Amino acid sequence: MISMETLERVGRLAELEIPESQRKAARRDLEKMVTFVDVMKELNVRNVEPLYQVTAERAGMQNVLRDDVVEESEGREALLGNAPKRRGEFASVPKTFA
Amino acid sequence: MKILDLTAVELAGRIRRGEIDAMEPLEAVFDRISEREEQLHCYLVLDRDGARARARELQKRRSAGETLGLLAGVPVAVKDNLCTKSMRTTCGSRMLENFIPSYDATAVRNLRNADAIILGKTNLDEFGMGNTTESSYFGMTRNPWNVERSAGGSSGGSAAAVASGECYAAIGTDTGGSVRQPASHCGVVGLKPTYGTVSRNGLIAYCSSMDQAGPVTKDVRDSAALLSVIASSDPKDATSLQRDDLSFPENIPQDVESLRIGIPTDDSGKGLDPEIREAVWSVATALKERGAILEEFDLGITKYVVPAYYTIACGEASSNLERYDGMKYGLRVSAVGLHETYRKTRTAGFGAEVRRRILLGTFALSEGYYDEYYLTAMKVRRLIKDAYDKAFLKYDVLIGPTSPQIAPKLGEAGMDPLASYLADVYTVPANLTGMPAMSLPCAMHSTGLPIGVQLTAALFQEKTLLRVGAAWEQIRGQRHEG
Repeated sequence: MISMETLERVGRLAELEIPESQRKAARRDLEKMVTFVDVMKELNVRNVEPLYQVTAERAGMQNVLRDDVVEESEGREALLGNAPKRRGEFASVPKTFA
Repeated sequence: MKILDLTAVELAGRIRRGEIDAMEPLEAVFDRISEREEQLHCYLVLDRDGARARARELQKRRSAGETLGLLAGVPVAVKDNLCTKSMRTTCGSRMLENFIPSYDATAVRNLRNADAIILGKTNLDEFGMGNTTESSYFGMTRNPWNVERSAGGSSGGSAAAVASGECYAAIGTDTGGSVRQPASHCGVVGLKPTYGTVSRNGLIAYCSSMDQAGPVTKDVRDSAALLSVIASSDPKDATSLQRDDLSFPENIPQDVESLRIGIPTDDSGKGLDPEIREAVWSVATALKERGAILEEFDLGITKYVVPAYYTIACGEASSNLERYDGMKYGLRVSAVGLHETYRKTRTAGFGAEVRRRILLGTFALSEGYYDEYYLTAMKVRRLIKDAYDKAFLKYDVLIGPTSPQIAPKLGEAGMDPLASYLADVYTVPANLTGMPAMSLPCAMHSTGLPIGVQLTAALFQEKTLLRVGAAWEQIRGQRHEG
C-alpha cells in the first residue's frame, strides 16, 4: 500500500535520509503505522467538524493581540552562542544559492 | 522521621518557619543521589553549585525577616524539555546535546518565584516520544522499584527521581500520558492539568495542541501545591488560560458523598492485566463505601483513540521538528549544499523513534493524504470529545487504569513499537480532549511493582481530581495502619 515512491517523497519532504540498505524496512515500517491508524476510517465522519483546538470553544478564547511595543529581548550573545557556526555577530550558514 | 520522608509541602512549611535550614534537605537529596543515581540515571544535568547557592540565598532572605514562598527551599527536578536559563536543555536528543537556553520556561520561572530550588534536568524519551525513557540519546532511566524495569515515560527521569528521593517533587510534561504513566510505574502521583493551564512558553514543542506540563509528586497535597505554582496565564502562550480556581487549602477536602463515579467498560478488552483491573475496582469500591455512586458505562470509542492520537501527534511533531535544520542552534552536520546539510543533520541528530514519527506525520500531512489521515483524525477527535462530554453529564469523575500493564522489562518495548503505542490507550483521551487527569498509586502488583489508578474529570475540574485523590490516599493510609 505504501510504495517506494511514496516513502521517497515523504523522506524528501521531511528532509530525512533513508539509506538504500534501510529502504525496504522503512517502507514496511511506514506501511504498518499507516495500517494501524487506518482503523479510523471505520467511523463515518462525513458531517463531523474537525476539532483542532480543545479549549478554544469551551473557554471562549480568541486571538490574542497586543500592541507592537519594543521590548528587551534575550541577550544576543546567549542566542548566538547556540549557533553551530558563527562569524562575528552572525550565525554562519551554508550557501543557499549554488 | 527522616528528612527525605517529608513531603514538599511539609518541607516548605518547616523551612518557612525556620525549623529546618534549606541546606539540610538539599544535602540529604545529594546524598541520595550519590547512592542511587549511577544506577537509576534520573538526571541529564545536575546543578549542585547552583542549588547550594540558591539554598544559601533563601536562608539569608529568611534570616532578614522575609516570608518565603509556597515551595520555600524545596529541591525540585525539571524535565529536560523545559528551558532553563543558562542550564543545558537537551530533550534527550543528540540534536540539542549542547543547547543552552537564554531564558526560563514560564513554568520554571514560576517555580523559582515560589522559592523552589531547581536541582537539575531529568531524563526523558527523545523529544517526549516514547513511554519507557529508553529512546533518550543519553541512555535509559531505570525503575527504582526494580532496576531491570523501565521507569515509564516519557517523563521517566522525573518519576524515578521522586520515587527514589532524588528530589522532593518534579515537573514532567504530558502529551499522551507522559506524566501519568511513569508516575504509575514508579508509584508516585502524576497530574496532567487541563490543556492551557500551564504555559507552554519554553516547553520544547512536540505536539502543540496536546503538550501540557504537570507535577510529579509524593502525594496529592504536593500535587495541588505544585499545580497552583506552575499554572499561569501567559502572554507568551496564546492558548494559556486565565484561571482563578487553582489555590487550594492546606487540607484538600476528602468528601466523596454522592459523588458520581463512572467506570468505562470499554477497555479494548485484551491487554489489561487482571491484577490491575482488580486494583482499580478496589479503589472504586472503597469510594463507594464512602458514599460515592458507582456506575459502569460504555464509552464506545476506545478503539479509535490511539490511532487518532498518533496521527495528530506525529503530524504536529513533523511540523514542530522542522525547526531543527542545523542553522541557528543545535547539531549541524556539514555537507555540500543546503539540503544535503539539512538531511545529514536531521538524520544524524534524531533517533530512530523520532524519525519514525516524523515520517508518519509528514505522510499524514502530505498532499493527497491530508484529508484521509490528518483531517479524519481531527474529526475522530471531535467524536472522542463528544463521548466524554456525554459521560460528564452523568459523572463527576471517571476511574480506570493508568496503564494496562505494569512497568515493562527494559528492552521489551523497542521490539514492537505498535504494541507499545497501544499501552497509551487509557492516557491519550485526556490529551485529545484537554481534560485534566491524574494517576495515583493504588496497589502493589504480585511482581512487587506499583499499580496506578487514573482519575479523569471534565475540563477545569482539577479540584474534583484532587478531592477524590485525597479521599483515596486517606483510605489507603488507614488500611496500611490497620
